[in-house]
Amino acid sequence: MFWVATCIFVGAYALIVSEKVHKTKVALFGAALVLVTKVLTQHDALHDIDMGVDWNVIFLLISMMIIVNIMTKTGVFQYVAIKAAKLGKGNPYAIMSIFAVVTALSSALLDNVTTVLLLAPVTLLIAKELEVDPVPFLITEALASNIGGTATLIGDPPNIMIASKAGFDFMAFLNHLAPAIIVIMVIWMAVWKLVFGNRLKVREDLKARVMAMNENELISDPGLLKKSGAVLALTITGFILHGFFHYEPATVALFGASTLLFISGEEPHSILSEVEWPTIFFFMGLFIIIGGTVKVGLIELFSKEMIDLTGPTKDSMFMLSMVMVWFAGVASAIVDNIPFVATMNPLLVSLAEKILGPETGLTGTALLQHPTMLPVWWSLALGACLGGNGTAIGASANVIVVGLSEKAGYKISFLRFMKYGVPVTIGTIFLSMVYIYLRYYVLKW
Amino acid sequence: MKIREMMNTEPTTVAPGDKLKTLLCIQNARQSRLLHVVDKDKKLLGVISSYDLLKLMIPFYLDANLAKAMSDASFLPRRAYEEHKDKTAADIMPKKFHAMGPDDSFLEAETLIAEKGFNALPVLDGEGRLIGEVGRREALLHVVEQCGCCREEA
Repeated sequence: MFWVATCIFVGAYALIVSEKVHKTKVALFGAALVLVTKVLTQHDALHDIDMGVDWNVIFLLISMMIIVNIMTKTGVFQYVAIKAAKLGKGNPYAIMSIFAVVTALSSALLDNVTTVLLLAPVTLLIAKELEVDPVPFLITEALASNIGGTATLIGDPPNIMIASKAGFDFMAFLNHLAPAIIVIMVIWMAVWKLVFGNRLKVREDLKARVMAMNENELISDPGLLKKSGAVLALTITGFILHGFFHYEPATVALFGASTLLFISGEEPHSILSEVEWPTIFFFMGLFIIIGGTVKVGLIELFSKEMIDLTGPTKDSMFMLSMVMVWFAGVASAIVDNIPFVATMNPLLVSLAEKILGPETGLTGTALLQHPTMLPVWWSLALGACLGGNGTAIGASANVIVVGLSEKAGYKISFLRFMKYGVPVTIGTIFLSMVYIYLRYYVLKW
Repeated sequence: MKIREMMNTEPTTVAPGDKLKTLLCIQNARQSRLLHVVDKDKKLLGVISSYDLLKLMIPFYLDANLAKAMSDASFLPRRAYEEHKDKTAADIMPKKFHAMGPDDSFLEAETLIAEKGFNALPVLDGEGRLIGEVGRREALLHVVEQCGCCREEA
């Protein structure tokens, strides 16, 4: 059974990385194999907390997609994008940096793919009006979406998975990751100013074209905008307080989504048809495949190796957290960060149980959130989310941006993306490492 | 009723090497529903509708809502023409198309037009050569004729 589960895991991973077969097909078929070979029972796959589908992640993702799908119909995202462009007064570098900040902020609350899907069309239009190459703008937005999404629990799927596994609440992410991301954004924008500040110039008459755009025409449904704005605000408030009221994030999101669906008057069929079901089924399949590896002890084997390599103790996991941020970063640049985190999560749980369990007598979230473990989790989150910036395939937002750019007639080669992505990834991972070191090992804050 | 009884027997044709300018100017002059791309033997290679040309001239990232914000969008078609002016009919035409035979029933054409939203359908002989075209308007007129509701009005 060990080898059956291992072969399914390795085979699925290899196919996903190769991109020769759609990852959802691989994940579902792999999950089916796990069940058919009785590595896991159906009951375990659908109900077990450690080995089965993480329904908290699934419902959180579906619910946020529903909220965003409804909000998109109001035109608010296009309004914000044009408003942001006019704030830059037609100056291309100013627009690039404002769009980067808007993308990062949006990605912290919405998912990265939706953010770039909403902003890229406006970016292409603005670039067309200004007669500039849209590629630096688009790549900047992809990078910003991955950076901004790292700041919150709901900003990036790896964070949702880590939160669910380790029991972190929304405020924990804001407390531990948002400060790092704010610093990273400020430094990155300063560097980008040096790189692009003087390179992007346009004629005044072209700037006037951007300033002549009327963003007020873009709100197509003010009534729906008020409703969806209110629901989104309440949902975010719910996320901030969910730890206090002992609600899982999925409960908060589901309440928000169902309320908005109820009061919006939108047809469920059309809203639900726009949910990214391939992504949802990919997650479900993946959880079952990884669950199989947990069941047969493969994860336990990996965790033993990790312990031997990095020598964590109950008082310090310094080497592990320093290695983790780089390992997660490099791995996420090459492979999809979702299966990577799905594999690392039970590994870290196993490690916590081995190293901290016997010494502290703690179990459950108290064990997983022990102060010694915290920097390891945050290193995983930072590395997995930021590492995706390294290559054109490292994150879904990158793939979307490259696809849209090519469709618009501006091909972004793998190498061209890396020219932007690799330095940003190395820089942000380095800053993350320094942050982890200073905060948890020097200041011990 | 068979298609041969209602079809337009003078469909507009273009050569696969005809450039974008030619296609746009033909549309401008003749207001054809479809431009039929044929080889020298009149074998149909593809069809280009006004929708295909519009998609080329209007950027895909400009949706109806975003268009409301544009104060002056006249530069967009000019820019699109400059970008695509070297494209030929063979480059622009979709790879797949639906076609009818002259002895197919008109009902089949009507339902296909209604189902898929086509403007018109080419009509081919047994060798794949273009012999006519049946359009949405002909289909509607036939339906009106069948229902008999306008006979008193006439």
